[in-house]
Amino acid sequence: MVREKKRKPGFLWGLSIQAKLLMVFALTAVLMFVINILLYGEINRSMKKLDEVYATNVSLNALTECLDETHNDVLEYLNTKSSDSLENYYRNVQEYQDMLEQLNGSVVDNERKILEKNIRSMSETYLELADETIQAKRGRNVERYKAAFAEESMKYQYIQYAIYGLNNLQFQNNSDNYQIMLNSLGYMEIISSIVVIAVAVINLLILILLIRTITEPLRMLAKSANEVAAGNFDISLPDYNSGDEVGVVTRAFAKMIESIREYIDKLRESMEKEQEMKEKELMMETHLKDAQLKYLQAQINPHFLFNSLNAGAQLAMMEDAEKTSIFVEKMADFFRYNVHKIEKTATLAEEIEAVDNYVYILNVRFAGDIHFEKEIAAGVEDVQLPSMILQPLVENAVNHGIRGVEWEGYIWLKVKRTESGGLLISIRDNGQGMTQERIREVMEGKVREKKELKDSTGIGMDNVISRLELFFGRKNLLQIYSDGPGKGTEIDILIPPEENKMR
Amino acid sequence: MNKKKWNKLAVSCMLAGLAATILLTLLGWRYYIRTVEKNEWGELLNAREYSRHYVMIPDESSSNLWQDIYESAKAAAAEQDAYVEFLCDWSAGEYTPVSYVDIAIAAKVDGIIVKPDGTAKMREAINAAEDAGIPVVTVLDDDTDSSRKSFVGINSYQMGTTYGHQVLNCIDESTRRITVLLDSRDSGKDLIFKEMKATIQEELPAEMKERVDIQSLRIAESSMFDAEEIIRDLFNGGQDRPDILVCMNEEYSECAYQAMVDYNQVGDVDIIGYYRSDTMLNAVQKGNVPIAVTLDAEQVGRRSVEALEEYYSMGYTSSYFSVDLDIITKQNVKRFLKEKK
Repeated sequence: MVREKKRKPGFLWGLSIQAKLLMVFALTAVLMFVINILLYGEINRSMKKLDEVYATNVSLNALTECLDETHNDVLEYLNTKSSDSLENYYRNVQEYQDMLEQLNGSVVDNERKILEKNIRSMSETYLELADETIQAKRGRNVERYKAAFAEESMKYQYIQYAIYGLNNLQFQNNSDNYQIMLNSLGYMEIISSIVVIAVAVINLLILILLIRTITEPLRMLAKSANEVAAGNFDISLPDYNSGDEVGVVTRAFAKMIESIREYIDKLRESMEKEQEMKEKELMMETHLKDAQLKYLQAQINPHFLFNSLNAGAQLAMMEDAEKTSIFVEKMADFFRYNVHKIEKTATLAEEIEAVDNYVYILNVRFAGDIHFEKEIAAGVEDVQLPSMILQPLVENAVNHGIRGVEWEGYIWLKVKRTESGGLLISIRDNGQGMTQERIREVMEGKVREKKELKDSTGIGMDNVISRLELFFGRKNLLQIYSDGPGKGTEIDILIPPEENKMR
Repeated sequence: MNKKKWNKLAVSCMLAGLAATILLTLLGWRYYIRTVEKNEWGELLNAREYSRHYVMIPDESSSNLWQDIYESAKAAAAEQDAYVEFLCDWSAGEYTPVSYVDIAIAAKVDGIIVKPDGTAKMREAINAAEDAGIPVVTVLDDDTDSSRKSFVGINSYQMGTTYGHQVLNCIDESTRRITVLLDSRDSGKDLIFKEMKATIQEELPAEMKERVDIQSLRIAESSMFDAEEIIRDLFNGGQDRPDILVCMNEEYSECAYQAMVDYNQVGDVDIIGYYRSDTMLNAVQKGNVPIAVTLDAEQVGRRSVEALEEYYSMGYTSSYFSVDLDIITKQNVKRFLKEKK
């Protein structure tokens, strides 16, 4: 039987092959994309970070300039005490402080960063001192502003040195930076190439796996189809319950096989039924025949009849009625043969004897109306043939041939060897004869024996023909010849050579 | 193969592939970062941030002694979330350690580690720093008159005594002249010299006191080359040549040793060297220099930072941290060479 396990199709299983393949390609593409994005995103990020680290957020030149201007403003104010210089001073201080905001202020383990922090802190100190100087000048505290200015100038110099140092470091770093970036990009190129290649290989493997899961059911289905094509319907179909095209085909295929199997079963069943019917019909026929026989047997217990007839014969003998005795004896012989030999094989001699008896009986009945002559070749007595073949033919010759003709009826029985070694049995009468049409009808079995025919032993022409054919295993053993109505009829039986020797 | 099993295998293979992809990417990225971090970029990207900023002001930034002190101080500070800046060489020799203390004050650092030169200006600068709330730790030499928080090193008395004993070990029948090289910028060494001289004279047998002359040679130099010339003159001067030459800093030791070798006077002059530089260790190993005095630079750096940290956490600190003084001789030089490696 076709086995098809039911499984609840998952989301992936419900998709068509196109969707599945698309998904597979999309998955791998997305994977590659993500990997690339990840790698290049990281490069970008670190570049940016590097940029942040190296970025000169504030131009050192601008810083120096602003510091110089501030310092000059203080100097000018000390010299002239002009409100212009004071105004410039405050403006520059503001600008300078804005620039300082952009410098690193935290303690970081890096020479540049720490220098930036120092510049920032020193500048704050410087600005405090500058402010103190200005305040002292305003308050006309000469001693104090002179001392403060000296201090301030010192810090100014420190800051200048620091900026100078930072500038130098930056210059040095920038050239280093280029080399670092170049190296780093080189590493990145190699590593990302390796990663991308490895990922591509893995992707390929995944792709192969996924595609195999799609093509494998197809392959299994093809295998099953081949088996079915070879005539084996008892196959196990692949357990594939997917919603894609392969799943559809698999299910359709399973259904088709099921239908074919059902159809075959039905066909077989109907054929069996037909066979059964035929057998029944045959049985019926057999039973009918059997019943007919049983009926006949029931009518006359043959043994009682034979014994009675024998008793009659003896009685006739005792009364010196010799003719009656022979008649009764022949009748007893005829019926005994008739009853015992039916459906058995007989020799030709036995058959001829039965015919003799029959003709004798008829002649007694019809007062010697039938002239029966026979011409038997020597050495044919033991030839085997089905029983009750000749008698029905002679009976036919009497009933349909010479009965009721106005001229004297003759029947000739001739048995002779043919040139090929076979045996030709010929029964000829000079009776009513037959039309060709009638002959054909008889040969084709279209003329049914009238069952109610009282004056018959009950064995028809068609029965004789079919028994002959069955016995010898070949057709056309019996032929009927007639020149037309009133011209008599001849029936020839040809016994094949090998048969008359063997049997 | 069973269909179900096959599917399961396929799915697990796919998942494994995905995991491998992700792992590969991460590993690749990690490898890239590690490769890049080997250069300065990585150093910059991962530059650590600290909460305190100390400065160390050396008197001779290029000497091995100071490099060693700075390295150990920096490492010790990093453990305590502090950064030590080596504050020197801003201008080509124009600024003195005093200027750097001033710069440190202006830069509002969290602590100053300095070797005082014994001048009043330095004392003032240290006091100014303390006034500004910046703790100062003096190293190698002390200035007890300043308001420094702590001193890390060996006191001059101990140092002088040790030198004295080492000189005594070298004195023999033929010893006539002992010369001690002093740096005019480094007044702290005067005390050591005094103590050393006292020790020698005290322990020298009476009959030798007469013939052994102990004198100091004060080198007032404006650059390294001056000292070198003066030291060379010592070996070239015939009569003035000392039998024992005591050097109290690294440069003088190396200059003297080089001059002795150049003038082929190995064995004629016993140099008592200073510090465990490669040159000195090799010289001691070869037997060209009998003795080198050295202090544990690692301890100096570490303890100076510890003093500052202690000050910040406790509000006070011990005013004196002693460090070990080692005498390198031919017998134990191997240990120092090993340590160096």
